[in-house]
Amino acid sequence: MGIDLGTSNSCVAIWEDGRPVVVPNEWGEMTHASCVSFLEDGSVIVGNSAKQRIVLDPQHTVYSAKRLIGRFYFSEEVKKAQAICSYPIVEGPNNSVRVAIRDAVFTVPEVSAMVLKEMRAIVEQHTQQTVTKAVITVPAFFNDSQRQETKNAGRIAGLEVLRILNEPTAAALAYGFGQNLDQRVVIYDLGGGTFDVSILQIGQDIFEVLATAGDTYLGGDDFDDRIVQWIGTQVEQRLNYDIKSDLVSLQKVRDVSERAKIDLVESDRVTIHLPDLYFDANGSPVAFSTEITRPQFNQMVMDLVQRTFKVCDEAMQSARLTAVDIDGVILVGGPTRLPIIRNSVRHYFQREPNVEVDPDQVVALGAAIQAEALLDSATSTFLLDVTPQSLRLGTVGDYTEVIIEKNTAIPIDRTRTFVTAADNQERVKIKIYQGESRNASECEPLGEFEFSGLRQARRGEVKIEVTFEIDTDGIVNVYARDTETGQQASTTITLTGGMDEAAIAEAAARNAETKRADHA
Amino acid sequence: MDYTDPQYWPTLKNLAQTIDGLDYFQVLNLPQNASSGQIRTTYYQMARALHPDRFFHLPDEELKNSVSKIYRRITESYTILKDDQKRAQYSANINGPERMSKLRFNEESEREQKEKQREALEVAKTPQGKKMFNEAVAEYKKGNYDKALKNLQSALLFESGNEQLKAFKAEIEAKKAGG
Repeated sequence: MGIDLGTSNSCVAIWEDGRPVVVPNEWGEMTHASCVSFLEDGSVIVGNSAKQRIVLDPQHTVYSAKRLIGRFYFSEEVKKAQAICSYPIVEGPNNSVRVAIRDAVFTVPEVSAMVLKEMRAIVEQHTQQTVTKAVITVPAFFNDSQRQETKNAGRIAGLEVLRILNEPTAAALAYGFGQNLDQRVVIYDLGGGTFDVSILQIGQDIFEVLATAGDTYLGGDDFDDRIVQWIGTQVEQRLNYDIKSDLVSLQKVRDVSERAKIDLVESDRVTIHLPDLYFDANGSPVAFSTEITRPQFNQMVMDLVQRTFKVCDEAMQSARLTAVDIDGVILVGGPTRLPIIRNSVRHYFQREPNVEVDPDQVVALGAAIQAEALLDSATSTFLLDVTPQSLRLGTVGDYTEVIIEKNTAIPIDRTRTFVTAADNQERVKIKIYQGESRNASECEPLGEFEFSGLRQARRGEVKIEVTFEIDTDGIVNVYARDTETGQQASTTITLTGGMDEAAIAEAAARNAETKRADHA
Repeated sequence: MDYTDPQYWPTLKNLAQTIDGLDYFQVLNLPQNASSGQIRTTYYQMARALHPDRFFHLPDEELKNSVSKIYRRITESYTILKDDQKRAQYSANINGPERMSKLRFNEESEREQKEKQREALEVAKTPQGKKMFNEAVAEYKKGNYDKALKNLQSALLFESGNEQLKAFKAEIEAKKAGG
């Protein structure tokens, strides 16, 4: 199966009768909210019915976990999420992020694993077969930690993760598979929480990514938030009430804001009505109504739209291309249905965007194609993807130097040789980062590697060759050997918030025990 | 040629062992004057034949590791040779006297290598000297030669006899004079 594990919604597809198809759940729904609600009896509700529980049980219903995956607790992104999420986000060991639900504490991959488990259950119900192999998609701009933790989520859900695949690449695959195309296409992928743009050269069965760029903290949720803020200001002015102080009314406003955004796709103006925004001192419901027009909305989100085109500029420059070199533009993600996005894309690329693919399903379909291509020797498509961010090595004085530049084709490896600086030096420590700044503090730290058990010798005599490899999942592996003896040095990774093998096994056991609640 | 056919597996395993002795043109099996179009076409052909995904369903781990290594060198060759500037530098490297040590392109410039050697050697010996020296290196990297010289001068106050500090100072002065 191919799983599009989204910030807001997820979708699952399988290969059936020689083509990829999206699998609906028992109620015929094609996409499922990436939402997990923990009930008192220890069971969970996942999907669209869990989403309704954000209002009913805000403390125990987790959403947008993808915004937290692979992040450090002290990062800006986690602080932003804490400000808007109604469930408790707490600090775990090694600067990691945890979600606290009643007496239990969950890692972020564990929460994502519950969404994956639901996708698996949907497929198993449909096919009446056990399904364990999956391709899971991630935003192209995801760094090593985010990819690694997504892969861990799959393992916790009891899946064999065949591949971590970039969402825009999956979309391109679904668009071009079996079409014998010879085209250069742009994938503009605005999801619930992330934005990616990838430029691909499609040559029949080859899908070569020329460049990719993205923002892992920009998505449809941010568009909703603008409406939420706008309503909040009006409520404050008219009723002198602060909705941010009340999780339940805030969530109600968030729900109507999201609905208003979706309705503005078809309508020029939308009435927003909240019959019981909150309850006054006497326990009587207080209602609130307002109207939003499309021009008003467009004005509110203009800067967000412009940010996406800054990212497009970056990708186009990296690929050394201009709009005239592009043969097609494909829109991916629900928010790309918005007229302001369609019009801006048309204007930027000077062409009509392709509307034949379903922006909510195309990524899962591509993932299913890739799963089939990996497992069946007869299906051949080749994804030549790139690494989205430069891999860097920490040097003295908090500086970094590039080891593998962004937009380099993967899989690839590079080596660096280190020489011992002291007599009988036993260990070498290196720090690696991802990002585009020479300053370490402006890059994302991936980990600290220590190579120990070095040969006893005078300084300068032991040369350690360190290999930095980026595999087909876009995941970084680092290993070292003594250049003279060829002996592998043992490696310890520290300074990573990621889960180790023991924690994954433990989480997998807990995941297997967790039951789906009978949601009526 | 279908390399997933077992008759080719010994060849692939052998190639993985010896591929580090080949230059990028040899990896792609192209002459050194190949056009950029030829390089891309060959890369696509090799991807079709040797991409690790083609071997994904096979059980032989050793074979898969070999293919992965070969394919990583193919990607590397393509990455360097598709960039005109890097290709020119690389071609000069492999046709020069140090060919054997330059079969794999190292993007670090010579300047950076020198800097790293300096860092590894821990030029300064006193805490204050080290501090000023590190600042000098940082300023030097940013191209602020005047500030770097000032910092080095301070470092020399603490370690007046340090020949390496003096050599670094002379180097920056030369660089500054040369623009």
